[in-house]
Amino acid sequence: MGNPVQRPLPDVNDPLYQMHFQGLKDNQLRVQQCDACGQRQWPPRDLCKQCHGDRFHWPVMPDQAVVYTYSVVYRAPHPWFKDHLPYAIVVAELENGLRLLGNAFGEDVEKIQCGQLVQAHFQHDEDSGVCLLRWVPTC
Amino acid sequence: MSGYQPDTAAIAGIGETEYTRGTDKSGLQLLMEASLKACADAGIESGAVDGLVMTSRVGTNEDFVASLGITDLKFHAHIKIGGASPVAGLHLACHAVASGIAERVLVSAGRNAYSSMRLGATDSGPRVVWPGDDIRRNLEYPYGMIAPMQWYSLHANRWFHETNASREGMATVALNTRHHAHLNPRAWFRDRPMSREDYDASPMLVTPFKLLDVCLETDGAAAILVTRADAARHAGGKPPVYVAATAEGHPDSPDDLSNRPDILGMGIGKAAPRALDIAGIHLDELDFAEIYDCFTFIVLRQLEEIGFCQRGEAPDFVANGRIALGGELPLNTHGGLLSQAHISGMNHVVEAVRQLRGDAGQAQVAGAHLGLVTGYGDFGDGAIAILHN
Repeated sequence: MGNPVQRPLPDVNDPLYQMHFQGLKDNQLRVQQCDACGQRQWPPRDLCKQCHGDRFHWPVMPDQAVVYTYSVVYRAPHPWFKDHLPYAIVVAELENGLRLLGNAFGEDVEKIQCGQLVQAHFQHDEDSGVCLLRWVPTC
Repeated sequence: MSGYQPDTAAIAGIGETEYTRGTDKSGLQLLMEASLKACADAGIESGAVDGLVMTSRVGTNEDFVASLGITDLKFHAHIKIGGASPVAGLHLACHAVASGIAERVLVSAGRNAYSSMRLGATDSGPRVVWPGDDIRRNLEYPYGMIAPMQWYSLHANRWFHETNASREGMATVALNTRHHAHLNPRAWFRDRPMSREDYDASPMLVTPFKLLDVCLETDGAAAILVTRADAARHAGGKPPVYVAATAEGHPDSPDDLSNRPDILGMGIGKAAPRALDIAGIHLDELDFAEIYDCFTFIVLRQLEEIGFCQRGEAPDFVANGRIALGGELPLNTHGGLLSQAHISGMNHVVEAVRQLRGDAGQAQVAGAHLGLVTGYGDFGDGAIAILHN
């Protein structure tokens, strides 16, 4: 029957993203923080948007957040997602205002609302060794 | 100060190919066909074009020089802000002729978007590269956020949450636009009726977008020829359509919707006040508007950010026939991207010119004198033009 379709995967060796994806593998949410001024930013950028510094570290963020916005997908834009319909894309806001995008799967996805509390889950894929972010409603 | 005096530039010529789904022509051939028609419409030899603004993913300045027989190209530029590019291209062309770096600037758009490169394609064939490609590949594609309808749904769902906007507005735009397409022999859906029942029954693709909230993908091209207004009056073509003002605007974090501080903020919200100020007009003076409509909801949001109404009020603004032909502000009189064709919005510019020439046939707005055209592209870039006869 041919090879199963693989999920689109990030480039975990991309220097700008490497620490984030290593964090997910360690069950941690890591975001980019400027060494010079302490500004945290997401998505990661080559320069700090506040002071234009170009040296960063990657602190661990709390793993609870609030749904800022979301999308529930009924027609898969890629074959891998066909088996997971409907699925949700969740943009969840951390207490410091940064928003991280992840998925929600399962029968509750149509109940997702802005303002809902969610908890980070870490979805490890053994074949690729890549870990991706899931947001799971806490109530 | 913009440095642009109202009515310095004019649109002297327009050209369109047939709009189809399926073609044996290359994207470049379609672009050249539309370009040659725009030159002929303006009453100039194509070889005399001396400026090029390209907004399509196909075609280089060398291609245009070779195909059109251009003998002395003085200026060229590529604009890459998706569906805002044609109107931003008009913006640049107007300033180019106003400054004198070129006299006859061709702005073109289009490709075989149905037969070749589909915007939603991800797993095979040529892939459209979006701005912020590393963000897309690393933080969005793995989570199944891959096509424009998914990105824009993030904006739409937050809009509903913040404003409690009526869900009726998107249906109003879909039905109004299809009705106008029935008046246009050049519209792909000219013979395809859409009832409210059809709209309600169309499948949900991504909340809140049903299939009938989403634009067409078509093959085709369109082009305009921009000159100084005084030159256009003497060229022997159709009466010129004057460009009162143009402007371009970009949202905060233009390559990333998720972390835009105000996800409802759009480039058009920055561009519109600039254009209105240059033109010296108020919105209530407009006779019609051609608003970029890749999705029904993006029409509503642009109306709000331009300032026709407050956030959340556009569904009420478009109700009760206001945006229909014969209403206060006829909108997308050609059928738009939703029901005419997806020529990245250059078809909106062409339609505005037809309206102001009195050439819009059954869709003609009576006494059309002043019109608005917008473009919307990528993750919220905007462009706007105010035209009159």
